[in-house]
This record gives sequence, structure tokens and C-alpha cells, in this order.
Amino acid sequence: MNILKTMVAAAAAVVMAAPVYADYPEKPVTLIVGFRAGGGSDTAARILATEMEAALGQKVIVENKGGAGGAVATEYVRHQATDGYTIGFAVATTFAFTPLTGNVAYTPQDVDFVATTHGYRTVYAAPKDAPYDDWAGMLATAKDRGWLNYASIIPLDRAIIQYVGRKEEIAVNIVPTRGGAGARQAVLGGHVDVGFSGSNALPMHEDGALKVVAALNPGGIAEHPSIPALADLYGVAANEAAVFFGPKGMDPEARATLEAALAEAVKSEAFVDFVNNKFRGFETFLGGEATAASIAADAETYKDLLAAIEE
Amino acid sequence: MDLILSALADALSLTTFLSVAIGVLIGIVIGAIPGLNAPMAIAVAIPLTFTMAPLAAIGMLVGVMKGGGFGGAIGAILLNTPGEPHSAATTLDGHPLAKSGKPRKALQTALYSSVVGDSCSDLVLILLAPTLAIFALKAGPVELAAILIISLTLIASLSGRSLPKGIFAASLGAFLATVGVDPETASPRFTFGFIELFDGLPLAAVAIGVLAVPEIIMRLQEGKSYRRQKVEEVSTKHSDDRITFSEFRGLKKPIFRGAGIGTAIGALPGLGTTLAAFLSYAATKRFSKEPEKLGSGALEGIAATESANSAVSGANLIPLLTLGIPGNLTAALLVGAFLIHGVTPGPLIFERDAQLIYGLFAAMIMANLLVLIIGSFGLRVFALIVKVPPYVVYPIVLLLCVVGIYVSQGGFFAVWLMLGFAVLGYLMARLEISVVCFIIGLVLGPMIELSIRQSVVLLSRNPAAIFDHVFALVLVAATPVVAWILIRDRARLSDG
Repeated sequence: MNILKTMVAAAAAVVMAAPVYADYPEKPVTLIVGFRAGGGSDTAARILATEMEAALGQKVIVENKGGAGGAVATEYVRHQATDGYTIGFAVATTFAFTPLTGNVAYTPQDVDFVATTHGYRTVYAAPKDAPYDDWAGMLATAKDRGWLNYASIIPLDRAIIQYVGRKEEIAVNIVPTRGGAGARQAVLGGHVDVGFSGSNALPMHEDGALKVVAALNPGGIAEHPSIPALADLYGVAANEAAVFFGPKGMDPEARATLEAALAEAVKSEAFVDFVNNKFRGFETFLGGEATAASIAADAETYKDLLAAIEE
Repeated sequence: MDLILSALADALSLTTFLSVAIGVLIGIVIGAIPGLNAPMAIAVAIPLTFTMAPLAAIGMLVGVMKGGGFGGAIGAILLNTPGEPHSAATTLDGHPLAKSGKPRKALQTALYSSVVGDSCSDLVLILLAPTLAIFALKAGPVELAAILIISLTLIASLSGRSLPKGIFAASLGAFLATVGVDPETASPRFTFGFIELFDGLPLAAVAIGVLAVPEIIMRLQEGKSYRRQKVEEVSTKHSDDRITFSEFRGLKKPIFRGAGIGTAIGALPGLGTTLAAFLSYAATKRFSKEPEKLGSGALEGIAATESANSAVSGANLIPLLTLGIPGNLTAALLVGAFLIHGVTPGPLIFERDAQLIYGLFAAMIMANLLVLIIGSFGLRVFALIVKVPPYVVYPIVLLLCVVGIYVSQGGFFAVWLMLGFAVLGYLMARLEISVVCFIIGLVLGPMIELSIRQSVVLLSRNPAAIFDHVFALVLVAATPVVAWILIRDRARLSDG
């Protein structure tokens, strides 16, 4: 028994001492995508994975572990080996907002960030037959009537509209919907006054199928400067971006290699075209440290937001 | 007109044809494998289509969807191991017929009904999509709640011999459907700290666990005695193991009723295939001349569910193409494919991407024909499964279920869940509690909860607005009448 213990300890010592990461990566890297196959987030992750293969000289295997807005993948990845062969893909709010709800066991400090690769744009969309065309008109109508019917998708958009409701002294009826499809249906059918949406509302706005009345991402909508950003009006925003991460204590060399590979991958023609013209998000790149700082800052803002609506 | 002709030319090109054919083949094979289902097949196929031309890519995925629809019936009929909740409706008559030595006849009925149902809803899509989409949008949370409540009442007639047991099973399903984060407050309900449960119980794992695995266990318990008897039966009755033309013509009522129900439900986003399949089955049982035969291998039962299932898939593209709203998981996966290829669903899709859309329509018709052709060859091969001894087939099936759930749901958590639900399914089968009612409760429960809670929020500050929803009020008023008629006719409708 003692001999066995000694052997195990010796073997462990050898494994720990050996400079196994010298020429990372020497085998395929697994990328755990926190969303189901086929959506916008998954597609971006798959394009980046293909581009990374060129820089890394190794296969990048994409595996989907969807659920709870990236939290399922986060829980999985943070318990994997720190050798850099298993990394994850989720969004900024998976780390900056979800832990504040008290429903998950991790915090942003429990993972190591690799990079932020692109930004998401989110908006409020109103039905095309609504008796108003812009944010101010919508507020006036709601104040006149006394309430606003709102289709919500995620807890963050819900918190933001509650905050806006308090500031504007409007009672907001928050209609829960399941996923983007439910909210879209409620808006297009005119069953609510306004609803939360991803950037896929932009082409429909341009077609006149609905009216985008405000942007939730801090930068607003560059191609539609007349649409106000809530950040400018109320100082609140949904700062959503795609984030690559690994388990806490990830090998620094592997992390640096992955960050460099992603920095190259985001410049590829296929990815730039996807982000701008198909996904309709925005280009942005942050390294691991900058991502951690950005998420920490977001978390503080969201904390204040939640405190403000609970007063 | 030129545009439509060039779209046709696109669709008939060799690349498109081959892509659609490969898609149909992938769909039938993956759909037929126990433990796998059509949405899984599409998720597998999507990365393959990244580098293809848009029409070939989307055509292939539509092929997978249609092939998967029929493929799902194969496992359900031959092995009684449905891979999706709606296939549970196909097992009701499909499996008894296959078991009585007519596996080919059962599969043929499923195939032909499926293709007819699919073609009908495709025609509606092609001819009426924009108009129908606008009409469907009028159905908001209040209307959906009313439709779901009356549908559940109609489906209650499938509760089997014992009404209390049926109600118990449906309530248990509805109760388990509350697992996950609360739609309104986002606080977790009955998740016991498992983050994997935040989005609810994974339906595929529960459905396969409760429907397919207990069947596998019971077949294995029967052991070798079952096999010898089985082979003799198949060989002696082989001559009448096919559907005749006049038999098929006799099924036109259930088929077209199913196609109508499937198309209507598919056009209304958020209701789904399971509701269509069971509603069509319940309606066929209600209007059948021999309702007592349904559930013991009646062709009518197979035709009703398969035509309705397949009709949903075509009609689901109505809200998808014109409004960008996916009606179910399969359609949601197609949205991803549209995104990759830069196609924006919306009211202008018929102008902006006209050539692609008309090409897609042509590809859909082509896919229907290919399902018919590939399916006809395939079912001869698949029908041979019943000749293989169960102690050989079922262990393999069990392995496939485990692997399928592991891969598609991303880990062992779903596998354990599946096995846990297998125990529940086994107990229910032994106690003669309707597993079908359990599944209906599980699938429809969250829809009813969400639409009612949405309605309450919407009407909270202005309750008088309920009178604007005349259609919903009529349905709600009709519900007790329907329930009374069903209870009155219960003796006639109950099987055996």
C-alpha cells in the first residue's frame, strides 16, 4: 500500500514538473460553446474556431453545451484541466450579470479570460402599427395611458426596463417570453407596446416590419444615428460581447497563444463579414486582461442597477 | 415568371438535387435510429452546410427535416421507441400493427400519409404564406391560451381506460414541466442546484427515457420465447403485409384532417408538433366509424398522426420566412442557417431573396418526392428489423439511446436523467398509467403556463380588454361543452 502511494506521488511529481506546455498546442483544442448549435453565437464561434486552426496548427473541436445563457458551459469549463486544451465561449453577461442573480455558483473570478472577439447590439422594437415612431413618442403614449406593455427575454433586459420605468414614472407590465421568437411574435402581432430584441430586428426595421425605438448597447446603432442609446438617456446599458475563457489558473503560455490566435482570427474576411453584415453586431477586440477589467466594471454597473430597482 | 423559371433551374441543378437527396437520407437514417431525432439530425448537418451555396445548404437542411419526420416514425412503429414526444402518437397504432406481423404495411401507411400531409402544407406555404402569416400574428397570448385549453380537453379523450389515472399522469407531466427558471421572476424552481435544469427538463432525454427505454426493458424480459413466435408470424403473413390502393384511398379523411390540423398549428408559432399529432389522433378517434379499433393497429391512427406531424414542418416555415419567427426547435435551427447565408427572414423576403425562396419551394417539393422514393426503398430494409431477435436488437437500441442523449444533450447529466425517467416510465407501464398523457402534460404544460401568465400580465391594468378577444372567449365558452360531449361519449370511445 505504501509502495503504491509512493509511486502515485512520484508519478504526480513527474507530471507536475514536466514542462508539458513547451510547444502548446500539441493536440486538438476543444472549444465548449455555451449556446445550442445553429444560432448566431454558435456560428461566430465556429467561424473563429476554423480561423484559429490556421494560427494554432491544430484542430479546434467545437462542442455545444447550451443552457442558462452560457452558465452551463461555464460550470463545465471551469472544472476542466488548466492545460489550455479545453476552453469556453460565452457572453459578457454570463459573467457580469448572471452571478448577481444568486442562482449560479461561479463569479467572474473563477475563470481566466482569453479574449473578447465581437460585440452584440440589442434594441427595443415596437410594432409597425404603433401610434408612435420613436422613444419619446412611446413614452408620451405610455404616460398618457398610464402603463407600458413590454416583452422581456432575459433578466437583464427586464431590470433595465424596470429602471427606465422608475425614471420615467411609468408602470411597466413585463410580459415574459421564451427566447427571441416569443418576444418577436408579441411585437409583430402588436400584443405589446415594445419588446427586447437582438440585432436581427435591424433588417426588419429597415424593411418597415417593425420600429426600433432605442438601443441597449452603449454605442448605439451607428447606421441609424436617430435611434437613441439608453446609455445616453439614462446611463444604463446591456454591454454584451462574445467572450472566450478557460478554467482558473490556466497555463499562461497557452492563454497567450490562444489570445494571439484569436486576435488574428477576428481580422479574417469571413469573420468580419459575418459580424458586420450577417450578425449585425460590431467589431471589437479585447485581450484577456482587458476582458476581465471590462467584465468587472460591467458587474459594478449591474449591481447598482439592481440596487436601484429594488429600492 | 423569369425569376420563377431561373429559381426552378437552380433547384433542379445537380448540386441542389444531390444536397437535398443527401439531406433526406441523413434525416431518414438519423430519425430512424432510436435515441436520435430530427432536430439532432439538423444540428449535425448545419456545420456541413457552412461552405455550401445558399440554396443547396438550405435545401439540404429542409431535406433533413422532412427525412427526419418520416425517419422518426420508423423507430416508433417497429420498435415502439419514439425519439420525440410527437412520435408517441404514432406508436399507438403503428406498433400494434407491426407487432401483428405487418411492419411494412404500417411503415407504408406512415410514409404515404406523411408525404401527403407534407405536400399539402407546402402548397399552403407556397400559395398563402404572407396572408396566412399576418392572420396568424393576430393570435396573441390570450388566443393561444384559449386554443391550448380546448385542445387539452379534446386530447383528454385519449386518457385510456381510467380517467383518474389519465388525469394523474397529465398532472404529473405538467408538474415536472415547471422545473426550470420561472418565466416571470427568473428564480429557479425544483432545480435542486443543477444548473443544467435551468432551461427545464431536456425534453429529448425525458421522452426517450419514459417512452423508449421501458419498452426496451420489457422486450428484453420476454427473452427468447418472443422471437420464435415472431418470425413465423412475419413469414406466414408476408403476402398481405402491404397497403392496397383502395385501403389508402379509404384513409383520405384522416389524412386530410391531419394535414389541415397540422398546417393550422404549424402556422401558429409556439404550439408545435406534439399538439398537432395528438389533436389529429383524438379527432380521428372521435369521428371514426370504428373508434374501438384505434389503439390496436388501425391504419387510420397511423395516417392521422403522421400526416399531421409532417404538415407542421411545412407550415412552420410560414412564420419563419415571413416573420422571422421559428415555430419549433427544428425551425429555430433553420434560422441559423439563414443567418449564415445572409438571408433575412421578413415580409420582404419574397422580393429581396425571391430567387432563393422560389428555389427553396421547388427544393421542398423535390424533397417530398425524395422522401417517398428513398423511404420506399428504406422501409423494406428497416422492416427486416422485426425479424432480428429482440435480445440482439434491443441492447443495441439501448446503447444508441444512451449515446444519442449523451452527444445531443452534452453530457452524462442527461443520460442519468433519461435512465431515471425510464424507471418512472416502467412503473407507469406496469401500473397501466398512460405514459402518453404524461408526455402531453409535460409538453403542453409550459405552453399553457406561459400563455396564461402572459395574458394575466397583459390584462392586469385593463381587465375590460378581455372583451376584445372574442375568438378566445368563444373557445373558452365552448370548452365545458366539449368536455361534456366527450364524457358522454366516453363509453363508445374508450378502447376495448
